[in-house]
Amino acid sequence: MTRPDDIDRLREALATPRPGARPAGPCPGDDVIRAAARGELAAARREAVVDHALGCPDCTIAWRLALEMAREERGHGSDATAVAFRPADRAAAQRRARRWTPARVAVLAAAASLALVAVGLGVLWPERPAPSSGLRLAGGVAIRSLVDASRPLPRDNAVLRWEGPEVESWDVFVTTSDLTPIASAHGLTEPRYRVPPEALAGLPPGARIVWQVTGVSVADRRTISRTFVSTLD
Amino acid sequence: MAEDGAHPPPRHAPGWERFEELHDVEGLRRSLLGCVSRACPSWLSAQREDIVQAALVRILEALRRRGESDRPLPASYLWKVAWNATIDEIRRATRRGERGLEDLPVDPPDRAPRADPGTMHASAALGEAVRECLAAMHRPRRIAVGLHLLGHTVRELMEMQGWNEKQVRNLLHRGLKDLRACLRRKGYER
Repeated sequence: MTRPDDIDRLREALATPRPGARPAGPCPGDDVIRAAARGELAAARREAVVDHALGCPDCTIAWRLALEMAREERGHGSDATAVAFRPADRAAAQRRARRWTPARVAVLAAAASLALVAVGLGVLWPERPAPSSGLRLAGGVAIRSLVDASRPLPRDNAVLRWEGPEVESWDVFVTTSDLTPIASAHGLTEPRYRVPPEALAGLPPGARIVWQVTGVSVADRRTISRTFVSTLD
Repeated sequence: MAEDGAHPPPRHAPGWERFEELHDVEGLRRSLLGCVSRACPSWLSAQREDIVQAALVRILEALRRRGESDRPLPASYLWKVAWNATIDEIRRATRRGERGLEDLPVDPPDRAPRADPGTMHASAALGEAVRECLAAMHRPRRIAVGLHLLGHTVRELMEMQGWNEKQVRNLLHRGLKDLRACLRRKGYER
């Protein structure tokens, strides 16, 4: 759970709100979060902000943004004209100074070779997150809904259909529009799923259901669809 | 771009040309996009460009309101303005994401990707479990692990907390071990 890719997953989890959940206590002001993330607050106050931020997805994101911006600001120098905000004429001068020359190319090529070896040996960037294990996250484009969006689904025969890559099996996850899970299925061998009528019984006419499909291929590689929305009759 | 059309394209914003003359706007855009991409969770990924675009317009608006749009300004001040503008835009995008599932139109076949409720639901549940585990953790370990989960490196933890490297690594090692064990007890396996 704590390899680099797992740390990424945990960070993502802390930044994901749960519908209806609210943090304990009011959020600190933006300036306070920024100062805390930049290490500009006294320890006790900073740690109080850390405690809040860890319990509040909104403030988690704010903290991380403040940290990234502080690094960017620091990385480009904290003088009166840091690179990202440098006056345009100075930017042009710096671009000119960076033009490629044979000597510069040779030096960079040597440095690149060294970096490749170093990466191979695990010397550089030891904390850099590794890519997650073959999981394609939100926005996968390989899976398409085949449900006719122009017609409501009959609730006694709400069949979800889709097309996608060749996989071993399919998992389906269905929720209401407020993310309450109502049905799921695992290990389907056909790209279709009939939502049990009893799962839809409590939903009002015209209700929308939100569904997502995961294709599971050999070696447990997963392709996740984007979210599809369908209307019930 | 914001779905309500509140933000015109930057190049059409009054004063934009002068802003570009004075500052390396493309460099700023790249910097902000990098920051937003690294700070935001994946469920906001489809909106990163929009967030940055809208933030750029807000930066210009803020400078114009203060009569500061026609002269070069200290970088630290501009980063502060950029921070306020960008966090506002992220919050707008987050609110749209949170209420979005109520407002979603029925799918046209090829609309842009958006947050996946199944993934978000599972991620939010894991987040709750992590919070519970952190709350039960010995305080120095909780602060070390918490700051690490908020994105800080070992070196930054040393500078911020006044710990030496050995202390930081020790706290992180033990804290993450505690966290792993706690999550396992809650049914989260690797």
